[in-house]
Parts: sequence; structure tokens; C-alpha cells
Amino acid sequence: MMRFIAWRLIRAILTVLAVALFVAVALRISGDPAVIALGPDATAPVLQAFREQHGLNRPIPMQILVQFQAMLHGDFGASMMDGTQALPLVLHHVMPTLEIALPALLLKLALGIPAGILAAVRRNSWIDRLVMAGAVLGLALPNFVIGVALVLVFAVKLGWLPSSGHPNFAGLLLPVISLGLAGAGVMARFTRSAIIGVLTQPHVRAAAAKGLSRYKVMLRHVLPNAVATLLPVIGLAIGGLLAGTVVVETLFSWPGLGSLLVVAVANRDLPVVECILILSAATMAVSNLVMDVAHAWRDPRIVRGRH
Amino acid sequence: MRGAIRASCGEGTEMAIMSGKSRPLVISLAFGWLGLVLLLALFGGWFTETATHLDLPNRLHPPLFFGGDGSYPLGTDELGRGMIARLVASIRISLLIGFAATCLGATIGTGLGFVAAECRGWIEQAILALVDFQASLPFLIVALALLAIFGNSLGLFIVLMSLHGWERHARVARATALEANAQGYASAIRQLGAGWWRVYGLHILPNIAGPLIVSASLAFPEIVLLESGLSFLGLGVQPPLTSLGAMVGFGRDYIDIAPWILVQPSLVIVMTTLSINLIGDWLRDRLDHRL
Repeated sequence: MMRFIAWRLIRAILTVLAVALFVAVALRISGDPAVIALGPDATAPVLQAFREQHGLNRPIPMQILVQFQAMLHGDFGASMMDGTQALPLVLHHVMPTLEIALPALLLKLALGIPAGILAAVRRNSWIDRLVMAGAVLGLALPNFVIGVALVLVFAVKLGWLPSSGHPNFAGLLLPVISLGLAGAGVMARFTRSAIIGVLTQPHVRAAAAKGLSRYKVMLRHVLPNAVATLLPVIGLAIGGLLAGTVVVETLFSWPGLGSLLVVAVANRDLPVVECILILSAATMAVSNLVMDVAHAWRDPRIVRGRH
Repeated sequence: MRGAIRASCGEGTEMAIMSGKSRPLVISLAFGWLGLVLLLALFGGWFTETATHLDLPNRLHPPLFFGGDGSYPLGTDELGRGMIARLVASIRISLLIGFAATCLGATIGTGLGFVAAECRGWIEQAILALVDFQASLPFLIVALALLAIFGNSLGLFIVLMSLHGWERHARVARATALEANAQGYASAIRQLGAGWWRVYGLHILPNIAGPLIVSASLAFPEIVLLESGLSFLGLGVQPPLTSLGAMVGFGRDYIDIAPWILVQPSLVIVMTTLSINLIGDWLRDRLDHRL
């Protein structure tokens, strides 16, 4: 087990490193950083001075190593927009994003999992059809369309809720619902197929045959086994917490990571973009790691099977 | 991740069986809508000439039945451009990007999957590591970062979109090619002296086309949604070109006075991706029982 965890940990670290390396290489092949920073009109001596100042005249692997060393010390460079350090700027925007991403995740799980269980248990009933229709719709609806529809109804027509970012409860509602609804449909679909997968197994029939009530069969035999299938899906949802809100934040002018990223991309503010990319890759890697370990703890066959 | 994708695919079979009687009608409606959209995309060229035509006196002209007369049946946008022409032009670009990126991604992924299946050893491990790497990243953020680094043009944007989902094609291609290699026909052709190009292109590819089409049918709607999301943010398709997502994005400023500008393209996006998903589920059921 320890070896398994260590191996997964190394993989998670390697993933984040690979992202950083990938960005660094992509940056170097996209053009001369000095020309990008100073503009096409800069004269040769100015460019030369800039290169010397930022160490751009050294060999490229050396530059990347120096950059990695700076990153390990939390130095991602200064934002090209206003010269503030990228890392504090990005961290400052994490909280607002979590404010809508966490409730949306809860909504997704609280709505999706029970709906999926219900659909699996009452298979082929109208509940099942309703849930599956919702899931198909959730898969086809981009979350900005849900958001736009909600704004149109609740903000423009009815005037009940504000259409853009206010850090109070009413302002939270629309972004959270638009994020959570579509995800809930997908979650329900995964849950339903996980439960049905377990329900068809012989041990469940055996449990029912020895006289356990449906409720107990569900609670003791079906759900614990279905959790193993659901963990990776939940892991993906948690890993995508910081990354998933980009579109909805922009729609609702919510001052989080997503809005920051969109502005940074539009202005090609590379230090900020790089910082957000690495932060979300790290979130994803940590979440995958935790879920892998949880999965292995639930199902020890995984540890023996692979390594 | 792998388990999750498998679970979702297995669901397709479940659903098709479950929907019972209602399935054919829904599927034919979906086919009808997709056919209409495809016709518009292929033969709508003469509409798009008027897509950039400004009719400033008739700005924000409401559609028929919403207070408008018949001069612009679906109304006009903030610059007096007819909504019908704008929609057709957008459908053309969105579908072009969707198709081109799906085909490109399927080609890259299948190619890499075949290389992995043929070479084995460290090359296979490297490709699998790349697959895992791609699958473990939030793709929207990666796409945005690449847009920031490389700037934006239509060609580059299509290449970028094709990076979404290649890893799934690669997995499917590798797994099915390994399976096919273990069967008699592949080694028979090899012993007749066929090169790998002939073995894979002429013999293995046709035999594993089903799962690959299934994998492409999953990627296509996702790419259309991704494109519309990025264009909605103003970071995808750039003016004077337009796409469905871009129309919603620009229409956002007029949500309270001219909601039709963003409602119409939103409806087109939803109907299109819904149709593709429904048909995809149905196709999955017919073509492939393993996925």
C-alpha cells in the first residue's frame, strides 16, 4: 500500500512538472520573449539589455531550470498588466471561485446521486425516464446556455435575482445553479449505471435471497460497491473545481479565477496564465491522487493488480 | 477516469433499450434536425453574403410574432444584420470547426494508438504516459493557455480543438489494434509480406472502425460545446467570422432589450448537440457492444 501511494505521489508530481515544462517549451517556441514583452518596435540594444536582465541569453534548458527554481520559491513572474506578482494575484482570486464552485459541487452531488439511485432502483419507471432525459439534456447544454436562460427568467423577466456578481446569497444563487444543474444530470447518469452494474451481480441476489429487506440490501451491499465506481467521477469533479467555473464566472461577472484567466488570456498576460494553469493542474493531480488512494483502500485488488 | 468513460458508454446501451417505443421518433427528429443543419452548412453560402450586411435603421428589429413585421422573420442584431443570415454563417463555422477538429483528432489519436500497438516497448509507454497526462488535465484551461501563448487564428483554433479527445481515440485504437494483432488475419497478412502501412490501413482499420466511430461520436459534440464556450468568452472564433457561441457572447449585452439575439443561437447549439448525443447513443448501441 505504501509503495502504491508513493508511486501515485511521484506520478502526481511528475504531472505538474510536465505541465510546467510543457508551458515553458511552448513559450520558447512561440517567439522571442523579449520581443513579446517589449513589442515589435524595440531596438536591438534595448532587446539585448532585456535579455541580459532576464537571463534570456543563456541556453534554453538552463533558462527553464532557473524558471523552475523561481517557481518553487513561489515566483511566477510579474503580471504584464499591472506589474503585481502573479502568484498572490491568482491566490487572491481563488476564494471567490470556491464560493461558487463548492456549493455547485454539493448541489451536483446532492441532486445527482439520489436521482441516480432512484432511477436505478425504479428502473424503467417514469422517474428513471425523467432522470435519464435530464442527464441527456445536461450533457447537451453548455452551462452558459443554462446561465443565460436563468438570467433571462429570474433576472430580466421576473427581476427576483441579480444577474451579476454580488457577494451575497442572492448573487450566489444563479451562478451556483447554472454550474450545478448540468453536472447533476451527468452525475445521475454515472450513479445510475454504477448501481445497475452492482444490482446485476450474484452477491446482491444472494443477499436478497437470504431475506434481507430491499433497504438493507441497498445500504449494505449495493451502495458500498457502487462507491468504488463513483470515486473517480467524484474525483474528476473535485479536481475540476478551479477549472470548471471559467464560463459561468464570465457570464455573471464573478470576480474569481475564471474571470482573471479570461482577461489574462485576452491580454496574453503569460505569467498569470501560467500560474493558473499550474495551480489547476496541481488541484487535479492532488484530487486524482487522493481518489486513487481512496479507491485502493476500498478495493485492495487495485494495489496488487498494478504494482 | 477510464472506468468513468466506460461507465458512461455502457449507459448508451442501457438507454436505447430503456427508451423502448419512443426511441425511433426521437431519433428521426434528431436526424431531421441534423440534416437541416448540415444542409444549411453545405448550401447556405448565399445566405452568408448578407451576414455582414448592415441595415442600421433596422437595428434590433424584433422577430415575427414578437412584435416584428415579416421583413426580418427572425429579427436583426445590434448592427441591423439579419438573424437568419447570421445563424447560418455561425452554423457553418461551428460545424466546420467541429468536423475538422474531430477528424484531425481522430487521425492523430488513431495514428498514435497504432504506433503504440505496433512498436510496444518504451514508445508505447511514452504514448500511454502522454494519454494519461492529457486525461489528467482540465482541457479548457490548457486550451486557454495555448491561446494565450500562440495567439489565435482559425487554423490554429481548429488544431487546438482537435487536441480535445485525441487521447480517447488513441486508447481505443491501441486496445482494438492489439486485439486485432492477436487474431489470425493480421499475422497471415504479415507473413504474406505486407508492410505495416498495408496491415494497419487496409486490414486492421476497417475491422475496428466501429469503436473508432463511436469514440468520434463522443468527441464531436464535446468539441462543438468547447468551441461555443471559448467563443462565448470572446477567445475562440474572432470577428468578422462568427460562431454560435460568439453570437451568444455578443448578444449578452442586449439580454434585456433584445433577448432573441442570444436565445436563437443558444437554441441551435442545444438542439444540435442534443441531436448528436441522441444519435451517438443510438449508434453506440448498434455499432459496438463492448465500449
